Amino acid sequence: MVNNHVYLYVEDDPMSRQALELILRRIMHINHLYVFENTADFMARLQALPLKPTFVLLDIHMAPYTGFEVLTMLRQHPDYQNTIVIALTASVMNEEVALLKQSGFDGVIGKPIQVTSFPDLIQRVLNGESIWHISDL
Amino acid sequence: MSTPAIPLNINPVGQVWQRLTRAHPDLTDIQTRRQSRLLAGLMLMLITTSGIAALGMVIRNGGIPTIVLLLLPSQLLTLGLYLLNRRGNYQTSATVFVVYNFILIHLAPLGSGEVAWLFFMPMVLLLSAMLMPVNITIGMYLSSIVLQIGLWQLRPISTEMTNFSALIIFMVTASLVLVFMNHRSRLEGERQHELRIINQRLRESEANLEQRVIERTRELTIAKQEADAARLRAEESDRVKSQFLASMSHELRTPLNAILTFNELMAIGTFGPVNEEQVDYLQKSMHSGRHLLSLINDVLDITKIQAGMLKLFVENDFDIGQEMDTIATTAAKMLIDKPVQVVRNFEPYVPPLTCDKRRVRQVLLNLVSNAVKFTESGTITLSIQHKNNAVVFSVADTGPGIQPDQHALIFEPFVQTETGIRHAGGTGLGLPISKRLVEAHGGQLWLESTPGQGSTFWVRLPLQPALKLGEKELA
Repeated sequence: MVNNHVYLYVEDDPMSRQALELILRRIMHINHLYVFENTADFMARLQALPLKPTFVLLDIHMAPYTGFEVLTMLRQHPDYQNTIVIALTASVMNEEVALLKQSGFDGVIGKPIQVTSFPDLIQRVLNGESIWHISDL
Repeated sequence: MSTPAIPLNINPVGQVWQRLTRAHPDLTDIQTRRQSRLLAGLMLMLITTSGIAALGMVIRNGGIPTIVLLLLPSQLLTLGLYLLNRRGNYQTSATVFVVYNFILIHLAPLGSGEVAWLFFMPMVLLLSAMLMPVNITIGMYLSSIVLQIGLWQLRPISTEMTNFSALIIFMVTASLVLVFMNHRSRLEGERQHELRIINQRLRESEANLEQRVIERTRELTIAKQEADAARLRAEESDRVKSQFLASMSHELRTPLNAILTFNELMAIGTFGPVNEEQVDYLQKSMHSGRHLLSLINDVLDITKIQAGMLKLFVENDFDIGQEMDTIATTAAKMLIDKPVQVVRNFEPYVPPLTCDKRRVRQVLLNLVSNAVKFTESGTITLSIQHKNNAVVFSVADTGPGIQPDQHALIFEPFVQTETGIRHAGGTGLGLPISKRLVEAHGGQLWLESTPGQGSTFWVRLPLQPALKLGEKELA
């Protein structure tokens, strides 16, 4: 079920990127995963990919475009209107969660990403559940 | 019921006298008003006493004596002058009165030949001294002497007293009058002089005061402008500081998040087998990392609260009963090494709350984790009930308790109690943040504690707070 999708992970912090990539590849054994290190020329690079991503994991605090701007670009393109887009944020600010909901994300997963719960959260998104998970600690 | 006012002046004679001698309102100078009252009083006395004397003579003599007939025109004139004075024409009235009496006193001895008239002459001068300017009185004195010497020749004196001795008596008495009058006038002059000086000083100090008011106003205006500018700078610096802290705390969290994930990956053996000791330390390292993360979050929260930048995200379906249950279970797990029981005292049904779920959960977690931290043995009791359109929940522990003088202090940011400091490992910001969050929901957070026996933290949240769904600025 997890491998029915093509994943795109966009993250500009190298350590965070490495950590989540490990989970996606080594723990969840995802076959089709593309990783972008920033959001420059986002749409062009997206459309140049051999397979069309169907599940996007977007960090929010990025340059030159923020996660919000990338989502807008995706939703404005006819090919990506139904793509699942999940926000990843280290923010504990609730207003950001509200903003994410209003912007049209399909869910949010808060950082730190927990190895024990992350695969389950993804599975629940794939099952059609709306996930607004921010770790409480 | 009203009480009739008691008149202050209960002396009717005094009242009538005052009314009869009242000065005309047109007279504004105090000295003139005083003289006008004096003149009126003198003329009234004169009319009354001479009237009574005339009446006495008529009764004694059984007929009207010549003297009474002679006095009558004089009486009428005095009455006329009295009325003139009453109408505000003091100067004329006084001058005519004094001059008439002067003439009368000097001419009367010519008719009667009685030397007794001489004794009345100083009286006229006294009258003049009281009612007329000084130089006129001196003029009268001198002319009185000349007149008396001149009139000697015409006057048949019938007594043994010589004209000369009468003149001496007059001069001595009149001199006394003049000396007294001069003295009074000098006193008056000094008083006037002093008054002028005082007036002058008053005017100066008034001007001075005005100047000082102007200066002080200008100083205040400048101070206010400076204060306003300082306030704006402080607000701006507060905003900049909050913004910096918000972004900085994000920067701090990002590497920490990566550390935590790497640790976890390592602990579950992603990179190869790890022994028990290694797992133990990896978990300890994760625990420290999460603790650090919560400290960073606390600092960020209090910064936002103090800068008025914290926002609530309000929803209307928070099941606080279920949340308490989950937290009770978590607390029990955390207390596994201590002889502490977690007791649930929940009302079976509690309606859903309208609130920012995460923030209320944060308050609950803070109170419970404090109880877990400070209780070494006994119980931690979580209770929840709803009454009067509010949900009231409490966390009661059997920990060391809090001294009464520390009750207010523990809700102050950046202050930690003795007990708090001994149990180092927090920012001490948890309770101040919690209190502020509860108040932002229109609720109250308070404490009951007996030192040595434990503490109970109470939270009351209204079921229908004045919160709109969605975002809400925290004032």
